[in-house]
Amino acid sequence: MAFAGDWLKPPRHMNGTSFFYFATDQYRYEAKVNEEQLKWGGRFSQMHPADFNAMAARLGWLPSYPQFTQNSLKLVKEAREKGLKEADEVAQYMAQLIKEEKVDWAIEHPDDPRNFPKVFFNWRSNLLGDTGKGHEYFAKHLMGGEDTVLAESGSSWQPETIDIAEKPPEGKVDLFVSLDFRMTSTGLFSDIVLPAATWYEKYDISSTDMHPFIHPFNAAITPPWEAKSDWDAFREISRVFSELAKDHLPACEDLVMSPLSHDTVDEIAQPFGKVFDWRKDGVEPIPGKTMPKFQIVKRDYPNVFHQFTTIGPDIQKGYGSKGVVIPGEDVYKELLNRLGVCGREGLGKGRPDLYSAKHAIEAILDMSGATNGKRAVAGWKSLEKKTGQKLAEIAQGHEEDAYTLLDITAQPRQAISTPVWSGMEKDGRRYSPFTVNTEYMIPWRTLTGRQSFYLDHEVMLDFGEGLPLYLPPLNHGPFLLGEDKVENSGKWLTVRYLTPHQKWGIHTMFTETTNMTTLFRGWQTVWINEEDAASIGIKDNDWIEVYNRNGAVAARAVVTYRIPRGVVYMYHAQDRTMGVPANAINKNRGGTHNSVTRITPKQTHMIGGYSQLSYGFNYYGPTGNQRDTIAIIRRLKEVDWLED
Amino acid sequence: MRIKTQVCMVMHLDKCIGCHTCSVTCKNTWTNRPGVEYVWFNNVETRPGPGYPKQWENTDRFKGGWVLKNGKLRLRAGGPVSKLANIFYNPNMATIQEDFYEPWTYDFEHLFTAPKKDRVPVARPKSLMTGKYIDKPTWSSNWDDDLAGGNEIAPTDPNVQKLQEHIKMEYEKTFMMYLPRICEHCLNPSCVASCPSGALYKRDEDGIVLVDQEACRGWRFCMNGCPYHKVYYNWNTHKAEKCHFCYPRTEAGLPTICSETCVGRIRYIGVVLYDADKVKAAASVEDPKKLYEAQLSVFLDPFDPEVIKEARKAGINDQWIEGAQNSPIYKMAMKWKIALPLHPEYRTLPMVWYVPPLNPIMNHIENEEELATDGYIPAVDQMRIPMEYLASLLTAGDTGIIRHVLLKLTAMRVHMRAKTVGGVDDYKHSQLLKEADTSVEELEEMARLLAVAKYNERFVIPTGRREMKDDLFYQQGACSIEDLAPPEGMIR
Ligand code: SF4
Ligand code: SF4
Repeated sequence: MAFAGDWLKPPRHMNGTSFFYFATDQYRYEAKVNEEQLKWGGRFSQMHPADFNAMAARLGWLPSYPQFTQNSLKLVKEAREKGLKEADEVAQYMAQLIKEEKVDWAIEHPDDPRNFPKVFFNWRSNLLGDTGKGHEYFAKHLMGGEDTVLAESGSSWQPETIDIAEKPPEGKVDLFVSLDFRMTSTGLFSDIVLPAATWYEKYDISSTDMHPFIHPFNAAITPPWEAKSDWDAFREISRVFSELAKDHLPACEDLVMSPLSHDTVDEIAQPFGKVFDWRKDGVEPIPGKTMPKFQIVKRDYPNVFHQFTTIGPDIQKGYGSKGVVIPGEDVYKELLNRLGVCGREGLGKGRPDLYSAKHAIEAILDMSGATNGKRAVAGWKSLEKKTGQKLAEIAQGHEEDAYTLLDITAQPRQAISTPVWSGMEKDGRRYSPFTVNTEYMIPWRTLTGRQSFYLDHEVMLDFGEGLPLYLPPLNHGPFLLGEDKVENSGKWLTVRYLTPHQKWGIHTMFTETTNMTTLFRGWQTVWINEEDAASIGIKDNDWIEVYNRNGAVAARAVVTYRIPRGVVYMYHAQDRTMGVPANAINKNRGGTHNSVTRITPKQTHMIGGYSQLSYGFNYYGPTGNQRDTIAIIRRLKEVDWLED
Repeated sequence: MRIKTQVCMVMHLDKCIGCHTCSVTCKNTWTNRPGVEYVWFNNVETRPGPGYPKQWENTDRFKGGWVLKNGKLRLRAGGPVSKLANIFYNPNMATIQEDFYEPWTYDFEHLFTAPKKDRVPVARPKSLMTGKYIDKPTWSSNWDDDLAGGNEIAPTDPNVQKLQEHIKMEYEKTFMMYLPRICEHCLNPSCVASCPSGALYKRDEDGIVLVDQEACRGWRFCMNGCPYHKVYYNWNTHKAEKCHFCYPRTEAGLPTICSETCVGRIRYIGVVLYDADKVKAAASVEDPKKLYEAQLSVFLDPFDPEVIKEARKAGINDQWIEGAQNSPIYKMAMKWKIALPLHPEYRTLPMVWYVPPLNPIMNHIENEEELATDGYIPAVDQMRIPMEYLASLLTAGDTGIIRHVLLKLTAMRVHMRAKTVGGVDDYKHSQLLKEADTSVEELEEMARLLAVAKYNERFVIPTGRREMKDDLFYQQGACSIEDLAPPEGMIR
C-alpha cells in the first residue's frame, strides 16, 4: 500500500547517497583518499566512486534514476510499435538497445539538462538545512542559491566514464515544493511551501523496533488555516493531478529499470562473487542476470486519485516484504468490511475505501502482522514453508488480536512478533535482533545462512575488506593542493570536525523552540577543547567560523576541557535559520553543520546481486559517511547579519 | 508529639542522564507565561558548575536560609524588622540579567516576511525583556551544560571553591554529574519566614509550600530568603511564584510532572510522618555536620503502633498511614539511609533527597571479573567525583556519611553482579559488607527499588486529604518559625 503496490509495481526507489552524489555534482570534487588501501587491490579500489557507481547501476547492483537520457515512456512505445507484445521481449529489446549504445545511461550524463531533477517534491525532510551532506554543493548545483563551495573541480580527481560538462550546471531544479511542518532552511529554498499539519493536528501511527509499542497520533485540534495532514495534502494533489492528466497525460506504459533485489531470486543472479561487466568483460547483457531488470508498468495518470483513495486489486494476490508473503484474499474481504466500500464513481468504486488518514491507519493495522494476530500467524506460516521450521507458535495467543485505532488510542499496544523483524517480542520480551534466528533455527539471510564475517566478493577482496578491518579516519581536506585561496591573516587551527547527533533531537526536531534553545546557548555552536581554543585566541562564546574546501559555517564557540584536543564537534541539525551571521570568506550566510561535509560514497556498499550483498530499499545500499572530516577553525572577527 | 505528614521526593542521581525532560515538561505545564520566561521551577545543573541562578549556593552573596545566633535560629538575611527597614531595597536579591539570564527568543516572523534577497534570511536573537535584537545570548538556564565553558565556568561552582583538594579540570580527568532541582518543600522553610506579608505558607495536609497569590505583595524577600533560590518573581503580575509540587496532580494520587516524565526514572515520591515538635530543635543543632542526623530524628516509624495511634488522633487517615508505610522515601532516606538532603547546613530541613552517584567510580574499574570483593573499597575511596565535593552538597562536608552510602551502593552492585553473572563468592564475609553495614536481604530490597521498581512502587501517593479545615495551614505553616514570622505577616 505504501508505494501503491496494491495498484502497480515496481516503484522507483533509489538510495539517496548515489542520487544526491550525482544530482549535486559532488562527484566533480572527489579527492583520492586512503592511498594505502588503494594499493592493495587495483581493479576496483582504484576506480573513481562515480565510475564505480555507474558500473553498479549497469550491472544491476544499485537503482539509478533517471534511467536513461531518453524518455522511458517513449522507449516502451517504440518497442510496442515494433510489435513486441510480451514483457520479456521488451526487456530483451532494452538490453539490445543498451548493448548497441543506442540509449544513454543518465548516470553517465548527469550534466545533461534532460537528466536534471527538475521538479523536486520534498516531504518532511530538511534536505537543505540538515540531512544533505555537502550542503554547499546542494545550494550551488541543485538549487542555484548562494553557496560557499571552495573546492575546485580542476584540482579534484575526475571520473573516466562520466560525461562532465565543462561548465558545471547550477540550479538544476526548476520547481522545489516542500511539505514539512518544521521551519527549516529547506522551506527557505522552496518555491512552494505547503501548509502542513503538525503531530497534534492529525491522525497517524508510529512504531519502531526501539520500543515494543504501536503509538497513535490523535488530532488535539484541527489543522489551523489552510494546513493539511500529509495524507490530505497528497490526496488533494492527486485529485488535481488526475484532473489535469485527463487532458495532458493520458494513461500509458512506462519502462521501469530496477536493481537485483534483496530477498528474491536475484540474490543468486551473479554467483561466486565474481564481477563480469557486460560492457567489457565479454558477457552478454541479460536483464535480471548481468544487468538490471526491465519491467513494464501501466501508468494510469488520470486515475491516480482513485488509486490513491482505494485499496487496489493486487492485494488479493498476497503481499508482504522481505520474502514473506501473506495471502490476500481474506484480507481484502476484511478490508471491505473494516474500511467501508468506496462509493465514488470511477476506478475505485466498490473497493475498500482509503480516503482519509484514519482509513489508512485501519488498513495498516489490519494488514500488518505487528498489529493483527492472524497476519502474524500467516507470516510465520509463510516462513515455515521456506525454512521447514515450526514457527507459527511465535505468534501464538495473538490469533484473536486485531488492534484498531481506538484500541491504541485507549492505550498503546505491544507489537506482535512478525517475521519481518528478527527480534522476538513474545512473552513480554524486548526486541533484540536475531533472537528468532538463534532460538527457532531460522537461517540468517546470508550466503551461508549464518552470520557472515568473511565476504568473498571480488570487490571486498580488492579493497582488502574480506574480513572486518580497522580503517583509520579518512584523511582528506581541508583543501587539495592549490585550492586554498582563503585570506588568512589571523590564527587558525586544522581540526577533525565531527557532527554527532545532538542531545535534544535526532534531526531538526523542535530543538529550535524558544525553550529548547534556552536550555543551552541558542544556535549555532561548535564545541572545542579549551587549550586548542586558547592557542588561536578563541574564548568561550566567541564567534567563530569553520571552513574547508566544501564550505564554511559560522557559529559560536563552546570551550571545554571535556573533549580532546584536535577535534571539534558541531552537533548535527542546528540549521542556519536562527542566529547565524555571515561567514568572513565570501560574506554569504554562514552555513549549516553540513556545509563543511560532503558525501563520501563507499564502493563496497554498492555491491549487488550477491546474496546479502543485494540492494534493498531502506535496508541495504551505500551510506553518506559524512561524520568525520577535516576543517579549519578560526575566530570570526566581525558579525554581519546581512539583514540591514 | 505533633504528627504531621509530608510528601517528599528522592532523586537517584546515578540514573539522571541530564536530559532536562523534567525541566521542559514542568516549564510547558507551569511557566510558559509572560513574566516567567526566565523561570524554571525544575532545572537540571551540570556539576561542577555555578548552577541556576548563577552561584545560588553562595550564601555570602544571597544570604539565604538560616543561621544560629546564640543558639537561636535566625534568618541569615536578617529578621522581618531589619527587612522592613530595607523594604524597598534588597541588596542581596538576585537580578534577572546578572544572576538568572536575560530570556531571549528569535525573530521567527522574519523568516516569513523577509524581502526577496540573494542571501537566505535569518531569525536573529531578540531579548524577551526589551524586545530588542541582541548580538548573542550570554547566559541561560543551562549555559554550562555538560561542562560547556570549561575552566572559565566550572570553577565558579561554590562547592569547588570550598574544596581543600584541587580537582582536576582537564580532559580524561574530568568528573561530571547532573543535579536536578525543584523546591525542597522544607520542614523549616526560610522562604515562609522571610515573607513580610505572610503570603507563603506550608500547607498542613501534605507540607507543600505555596505562595498565596492574593496575599503576595511582591516584596521578593522570599527569593533570596530561600537558600536554594527556588522562589521566583513574575515581573508581569509582580508576585512570587514557585514549585508547588504539582499539587493538583498529587492530590489525585499522580506524581509531579517532572517525575512522571523523567526519562531516567530517577524520581520517587512518597509521604513520611514526622513530629513537628522536633523540627525546631533539629534545625538548631550547633554542629552543621550533625544536622543530617538531627533531620532524620524528626521522622517517625510508620509501623510503630504508638505512632499509628497518635497519627489517627491527629486526624491522619489510614490511607495516609499506609502510604507512609509503603513510602519509597521512608525506605531510602530513613531506613536504608542512602538518600541525603541537599545542603542540610541551610537548616531548612529540605524534603527532596538525593542518592549520590556511584557511576563514575565503577566506570574506572578494570578486570572486574578478577576483582575480589574488597578490591572495591579503594575504588570508592579514589572515585573521580571527589567525596569531598559530594559531601559539600549533601552532608555539610561530612565525607564519612558519603563514603558509607557509596560503600552500601557498591555492595549492592557487587552482590547483584555476582548473583546475575557469577563471580567472586567471598562476598558474605567481606570487609565491604561489614563496612557498608548492611545485609544481603537489604541489598536485594534496595536493588529492586533502585533498579527495577515500576511506577506503582516508585510513586506511592495517597490521594488528597479533603477532610481538613482550610485554615489549618497556619498551624503547620508557622511550625518552628512562629516567633520569627507571624503567620498573618508583618504588614498586609
Ligand atoms: S526550597 Fe522551597 S520550601 Fe525551602 S526555603 Fe526554598 S522555596 Fe521555601
Ligand atoms: S528527566 Fe530525569 S533523567 Fe532527565 S534530567 Fe530530569 S531528572 Fe534527570
